[in-house]
Amino acid sequence: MAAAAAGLLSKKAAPFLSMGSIFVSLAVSVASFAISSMPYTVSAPWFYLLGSGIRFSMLVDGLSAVMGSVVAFVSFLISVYSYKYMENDWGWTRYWFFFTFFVGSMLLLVFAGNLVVMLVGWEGTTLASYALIGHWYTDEEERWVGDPGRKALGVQMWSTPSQAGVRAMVFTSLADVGFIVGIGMLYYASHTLSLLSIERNMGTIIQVLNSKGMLLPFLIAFTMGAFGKSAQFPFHEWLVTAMTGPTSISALIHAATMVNAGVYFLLRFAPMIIVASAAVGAYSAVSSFFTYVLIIGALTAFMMASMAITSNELKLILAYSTSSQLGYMFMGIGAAYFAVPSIALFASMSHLISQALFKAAMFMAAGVLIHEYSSRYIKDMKGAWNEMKITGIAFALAALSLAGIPPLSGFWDKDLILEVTLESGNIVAYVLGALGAFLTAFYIFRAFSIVFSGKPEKEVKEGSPIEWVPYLLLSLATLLFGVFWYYPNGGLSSYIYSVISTRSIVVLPTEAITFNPADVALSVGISLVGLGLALGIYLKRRELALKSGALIALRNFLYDRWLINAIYYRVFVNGLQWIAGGLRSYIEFGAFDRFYHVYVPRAITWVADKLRGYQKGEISRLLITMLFGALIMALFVLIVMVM
Amino acid sequence: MIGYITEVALAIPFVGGLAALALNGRGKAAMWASAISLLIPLIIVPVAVLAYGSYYSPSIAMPGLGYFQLVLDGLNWPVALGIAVVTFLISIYSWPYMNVRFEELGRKSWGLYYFLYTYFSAGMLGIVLSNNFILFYIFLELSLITSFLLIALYGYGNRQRISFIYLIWTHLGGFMFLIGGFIYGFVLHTFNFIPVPPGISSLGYLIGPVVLLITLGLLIKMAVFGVHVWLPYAHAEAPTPVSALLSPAMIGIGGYAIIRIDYFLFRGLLLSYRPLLIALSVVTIIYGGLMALKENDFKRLLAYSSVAQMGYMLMGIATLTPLGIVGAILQFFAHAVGKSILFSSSGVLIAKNNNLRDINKMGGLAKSMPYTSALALLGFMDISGLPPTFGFFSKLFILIAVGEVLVGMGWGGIALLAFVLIGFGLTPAYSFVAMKRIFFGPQKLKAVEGDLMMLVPMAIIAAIMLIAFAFPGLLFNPLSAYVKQLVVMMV
Repeated sequence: MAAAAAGLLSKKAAPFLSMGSIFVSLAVSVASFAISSMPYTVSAPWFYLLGSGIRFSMLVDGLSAVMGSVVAFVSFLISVYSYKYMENDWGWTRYWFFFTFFVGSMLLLVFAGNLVVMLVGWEGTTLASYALIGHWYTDEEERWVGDPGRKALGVQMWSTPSQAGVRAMVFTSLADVGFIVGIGMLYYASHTLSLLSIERNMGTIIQVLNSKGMLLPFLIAFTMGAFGKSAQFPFHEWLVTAMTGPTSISALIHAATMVNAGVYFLLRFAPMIIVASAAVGAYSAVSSFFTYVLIIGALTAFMMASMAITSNELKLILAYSTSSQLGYMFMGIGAAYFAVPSIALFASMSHLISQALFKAAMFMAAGVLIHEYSSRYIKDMKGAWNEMKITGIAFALAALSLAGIPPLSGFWDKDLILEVTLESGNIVAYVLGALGAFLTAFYIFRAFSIVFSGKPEKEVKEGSPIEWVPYLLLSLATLLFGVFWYYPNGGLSSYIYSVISTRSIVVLPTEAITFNPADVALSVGISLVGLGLALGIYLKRRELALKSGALIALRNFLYDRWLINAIYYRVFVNGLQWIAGGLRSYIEFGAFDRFYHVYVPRAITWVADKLRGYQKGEISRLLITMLFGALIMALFVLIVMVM
Repeated sequence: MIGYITEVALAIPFVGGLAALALNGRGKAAMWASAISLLIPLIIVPVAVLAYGSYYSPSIAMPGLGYFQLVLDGLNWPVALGIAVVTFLISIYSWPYMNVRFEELGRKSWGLYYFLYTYFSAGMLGIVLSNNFILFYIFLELSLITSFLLIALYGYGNRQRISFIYLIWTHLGGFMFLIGGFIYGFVLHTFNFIPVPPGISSLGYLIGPVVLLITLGLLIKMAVFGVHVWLPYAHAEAPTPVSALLSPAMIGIGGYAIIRIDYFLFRGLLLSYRPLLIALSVVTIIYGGLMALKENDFKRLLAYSSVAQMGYMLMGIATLTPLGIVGAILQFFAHAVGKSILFSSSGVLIAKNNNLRDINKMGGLAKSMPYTSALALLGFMDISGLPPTFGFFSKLFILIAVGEVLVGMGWGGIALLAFVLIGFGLTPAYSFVAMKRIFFGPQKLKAVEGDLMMLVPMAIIAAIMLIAFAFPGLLFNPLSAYVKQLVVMMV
C-alpha cells in the first residue's frame, strides 16, 4: 500500500520503481478481499493529542478494498503507458516522483482508518495534482488549454500549465478548509477522529449538532472538500484547465485518483449518516442535505455535458465528461437517502468503476492521437480509423460505455442511477440527468466521428504496444465488466454489491437489483437518439451551420463554460484584487502608515516644540504648568481614594 | 553539570558571540564560532526534553522579584526547538549572504555582525525559557537592541529610518508589557509567571489593566492587524538572514507569551473577549493575505504573509481551547521553519542576482535555479499547510479548534466559517500565485543558483520540517501532555 517516493533516485530506475510499487499495491489491494474478518484495521502509534492517541491506522473493508483495487489497477496500466508516452521528457524523474506520490496519497486516503491519515492522503493528492498539472511549467503554447486570445466578459479563457496548477490548488484547498472545519465540528460532538468510532457515534453527532442548529452547516462544510475534489459545481472550474498536464496525468486524475476521492468520501460517510439518522429520527437537515447533493450532482451532470457538445479540444471534451459523470455519481449518493440506500450507493460505486475504466482508456487513446496529429483540436484530426484501428476500437468501446449503450458497463450503472433518482421522487434531478445522458451520447460520438471518419490528411500510425496495450485492455475490461455485470440472480454486480454493502464498516440491508423495462427503454432510447444524431451529422463531416443569432449566442455561452469562469474572475479574483488594491493604497499606506509614521511623529514634534517654550524660564508659563500639574495629581489621588 | 543544562545551552551562545567579536578579522572563524555555539542549544534542547520531559533549572532567588529560573517544558519546547534550528542554520547561511552585503556596503565587519547575530539568537532563546517577567524583559530588550542594530547597520533602503521605526514600535510593545508586569509583580510580590503564583486572585480589579497591557504589548510584537505597520518595513529591509529570524521566530514569541501568560493565568477573563479575539485574528489573516496577494516585492510579500501567519497563531489562541493552543504552538514551529526557508530563498535571489526583489522582473526561474525553487515550494507548502510539511498539522488543529468553537456560535459561527474559508483560502492563493510568478512560466532572465553554503542549510531546515511531519509525536506528545495537565488543573 505504501507506494512511496520512488522517484528521484536515478533516471533508469525511477519508472520501474514506480511501476513496481504500484503493482505491489495492486496485489495487496486485491489480496485484501481474502481477509475474512473485514472490516479489518492495522495501526501503529503515531502521536498523542491531549491524552488520546492518534494512531496511524489503515482500514480495510469492502468499500476500501474495492476502491483500492480499482485505483491500483488503473494507475498501474497508466504507469506502463507513461513509460512510452513520457519518453524523452525533460522532467522525467520529477514526473515519476509525483506520479508515485499521487498514487500513494490516493491509496493512503482510501485505506485511511482515521480522518488525520485520510487528510494526509487527501492533501497529498492536491499537491501531486498541482505539480503534475503544472508539469510543463515553462508554459509553451502547445501545452495551453483553451483558445489563445479568446475572451469572455473581458476575461481570458485559456490557461497555461503553471496557471492551471495554481487554479487546481486554490479551488481544491479552498474546499478543503471547509472539510477541516467540518472535522472540527464533528470533533466537538464526538471527540474522536477514527472512522470506526465516528461510525458508532454518528447518531450522537447528528443529535448534538442538530440541537445547536448546526447540522446542515456541518454536513455542507464537512463534504465541501469532496465537492472540490470531485469538481462539482461550484468548484468544477479547476478540472477543465487541468488539461494542461501530460495526457497520462489527465488519465490518472480523471480515472484513477483525485476526482474519485470526493465520491469515495461520500460513499464512506453517506451510509453512516443514513443509518444513524434513521435510528435517531429523521431531521429535516439531513434530507435537505441529500437533496442538495442530488441537485448539485444533476446540475453538474447536465451543465458539463452541455459544455462538452461545443468544445473543439479532444481532452477538454473528456474533461467536461468526467465532471459530468461525477455528477451522476453524486446523484446516486443524493438519492440514497430517499431510495433504497444500498442500491443507490452501489450504483454510484459501480459507475465510478466504469468511469475509471472507460475514461482512462479514452484519455490514453487521446494522448496518442494528440501526439500523432501534433494538435489538441479535433478539427485537425481526421481519418484516424484508417491507420489506427486498435485505437479506434478501444475508443469506440469506451465511448459506447460512456454513452450508456448496453451491454457495456456504463449502461447498467448510469441506468441504475437514473432509476434511483426517479424513485427518490426528485423530478428536476431526473430530467437534468436524462437530458445529460442525451448530451453525453451526442458529444462523445461527435468527437468520435470527427476524429475517426474521413481520409487522413497526414501520415499517422499506431503508437507503440506499450501505449495501446493498456488502453485496449481497459476498453475490453469495460466491455467484460458490462457483459458480466448483470444476471437475474448474480453477475459481477451482485458480488461487488454484497461486498460493499455487507463487509464495509456500515452494514446496509441489501435488496435485489431490478430494472424497470420502461425506464431502461427510455434511457437507452435517449442515448441512441443522441448517438445517432451525432453520427448522422458528423460522420459525413458536416458542420452545423448556426444561422440565427440566438443559436450562436447559445453556442458561445456553452463554449465559454456558461461564463462561470469569467464571472469568477470578474467577481472573486478581480474583486479581491480590487479590494486588496484599495486597502493597500487607502488603508495600509493612506491611513496606517501615514498616521503612525507621519502624523504621530509630527504631533510629537509639535508638542515638543510647544513644551520647549516652558523650559525657557518664563514665570507666568511656569506657574500655569505648576497649577496644571497639581490639579492632575489631586485628581489622581482622588481617583485612587474613591476606588 | 546536568543540573545546569539549560543554563549551559543559553550561556554558550553568549560566549560564542564574544568569540566571534574577537575573531573579527577572520570572517569564517567568526561564523563557525557563532554557528557552533548555536548548535549547542540545538543539541541540548531535544536531549533535555527527551531525557527529562520537563526541565527546570535550579532557581536563583531575587529578593522582591520572585526567582529566576530557566524552564523547558512541553509548552515551550516546540518554540525553543524552532528557534534553535533556525538560528543555527541561518548563521551558516549568513556567511555567503553577508559576504555580498559587505561588499556592497564597502566594509567588512564579521565580528560585529556575528556578535549581534548570536546575541540576538540567544536573547530569543532566553525569552522563551524565562519564568519571570523581569528575566523575560531583560532577554526581550537584548534581542530588540541587537536586532535593531543589525537592521540599522546592514539593512536596505532607508535603513536608519526603518530601524528607528522598528525600535520605537517594539519598545512600545515591550514597555506596555513591562508596565503590566510591574503592576502584577508589585501586587503579588513576585514576578514569576511559572509556576502560577498562588495569590493570583489578589490582583482584584487590577486584573483588567494587567491583562490589557500585557496583551496589547504582545499583540504589537506579534504585529496583528492595526499594529502591524512596522513589520513589512523592518522585515523586508533587514538583511535577509536577519529577516529569516525576525519574521518567523521573533514575532511568534509574542504569541507564545500570550499563551504562557494570558491563557494559563487569565483564561477566565479572556473567555469573555473570545469573539473579539477571533474577529481580530480573522481580520489579520484576511488583511495580511490580501496585502501579500497585491505585493510585488518578494520580501514584503513574505512579510505580509508573516502577518497572516500570526493571524493563524492568534486564531488558535483565540479559540481558548486546548486544541487551539496546541495548534498555535505548533504553528510557531511550522512557521519558523517554513518562513525561514522562504526568506532564505529570497536571499538567494538578492545576493546572487543583483538585489533581485521585484516579482514583476522574475519568471521561469525554476529552470536556472532548480534547488532554490524546490525549497521555496516546500516553504510555501508549509505555510499553506500541505503535507508532507509540518504546517499540515498546525493548520489542521487550528481549524479543528475553530470548528469546535464555531458550533456554539449560531449564525456567528456560520459567518465565521465563511471568513475562515476566505482567510485560509488566501494563503495557498498568494503562495502559489507567487510561486508561479517567480519560478514558473517562460524564463525571463537567467538567474544564478545559490552557493552550497546557502542551499545546504536551507535543505537541512526543510529536512527537519519533513521529519517533524513524519514523526509528529516528538513535538506533539510533550506539548499535549502539558496542555492537558494544566487544563485539568484549571477546571
